[in-house]
Amino acid sequence: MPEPKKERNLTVEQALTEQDFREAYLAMRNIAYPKRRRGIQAGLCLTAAGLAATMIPLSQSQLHTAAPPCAVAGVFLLLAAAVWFFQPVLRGRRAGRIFRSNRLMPLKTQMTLLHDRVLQKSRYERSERYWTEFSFCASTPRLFVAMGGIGRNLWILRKEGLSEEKKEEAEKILSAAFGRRYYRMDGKRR
Amino acid sequence: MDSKTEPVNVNFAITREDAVHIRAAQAELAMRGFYRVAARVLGACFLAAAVALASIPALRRTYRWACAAAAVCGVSLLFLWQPLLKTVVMAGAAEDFEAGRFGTPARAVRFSPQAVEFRAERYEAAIPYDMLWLAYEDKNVLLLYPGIGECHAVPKRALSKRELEAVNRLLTDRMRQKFLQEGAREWTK
Repeated sequence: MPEPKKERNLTVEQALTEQDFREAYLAMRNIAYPKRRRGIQAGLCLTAAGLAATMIPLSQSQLHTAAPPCAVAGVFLLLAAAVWFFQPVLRGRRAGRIFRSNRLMPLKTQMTLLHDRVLQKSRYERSERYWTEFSFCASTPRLFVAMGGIGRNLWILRKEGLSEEKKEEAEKILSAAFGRRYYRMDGKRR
Repeated sequence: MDSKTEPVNVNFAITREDAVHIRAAQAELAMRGFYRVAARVLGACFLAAAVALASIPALRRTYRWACAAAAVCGVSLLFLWQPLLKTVVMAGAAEDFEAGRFGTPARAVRFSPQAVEFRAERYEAAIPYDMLWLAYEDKNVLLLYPGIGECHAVPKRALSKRELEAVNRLLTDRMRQKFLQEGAREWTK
């Protein structure tokens, strides 16, 4: 009779920092909402500005003024510049605000990663979350991040402090659990 | 409430109606303060601009389109934006509940003098009141926020009048300005 397959598991302890959370938050937003990336949004604004500019001759012939399309084009140009320069700053600030508001997040937490779920235990909380509760998982240069679920919707595992062996083990567990929903940070599916 | 006071235990299961009430309260909380005032001020400015443009004949003729646009923006921001947003949020809540996105329905919450304890199928916590970010109460639910975007809800139908009073006293005493009640101003507490 074949021996039952040994279940992979990995136990780690970590305390998150604001920098970790900011990085995870920005990475997750880029993957979860590709249409809200600054390049896409600024591009849409520039397209709208271009379309408004094409209305100038029509406006001049019908309304005897080019003011309305010029105003609309100007607004969209300004919006494109604002999105390009300020979106990352504002998102980073929001991530910082979320992290600082939650005093449970920076606490030291023990995590046990299993093939189908993660067990978490800190001074005040104890939880069990199945990987199927999350929408997807990503591996960034410094973190493993999963998004989705009910309640705290970012799960973060720091790579810093993990031995190469543990990193590999975590990657094997997560890539097997998430399958096609496991992303590298270059945006390609594994 | 002193440390010898009996804790309040609440056991409940989230229903579809609760889900709608929870989202409505969350939306109400999100639209408090700056956003609400900003929408009203902006709406009033748009309406004032529309009236100003309409009352000056020379401008009215040239900028009829701007006058109409300003009037539409003003009316939308002053009268339509909030009810519309709330309706959309409540419709989404019912849909999310049907899809099981409100988590485990059966939950227990215990308000003890030192901490608020949560128990659900795969989650347990005992969080001291000073670790909570915010508490909010409206006529249907009590929301307890460990942080922005993370919320534990307690439907008030699961509490007796006496229990609700005890919980209110406890939250007012322990959380002070961090306990917001619908219709109450923070500086009066």
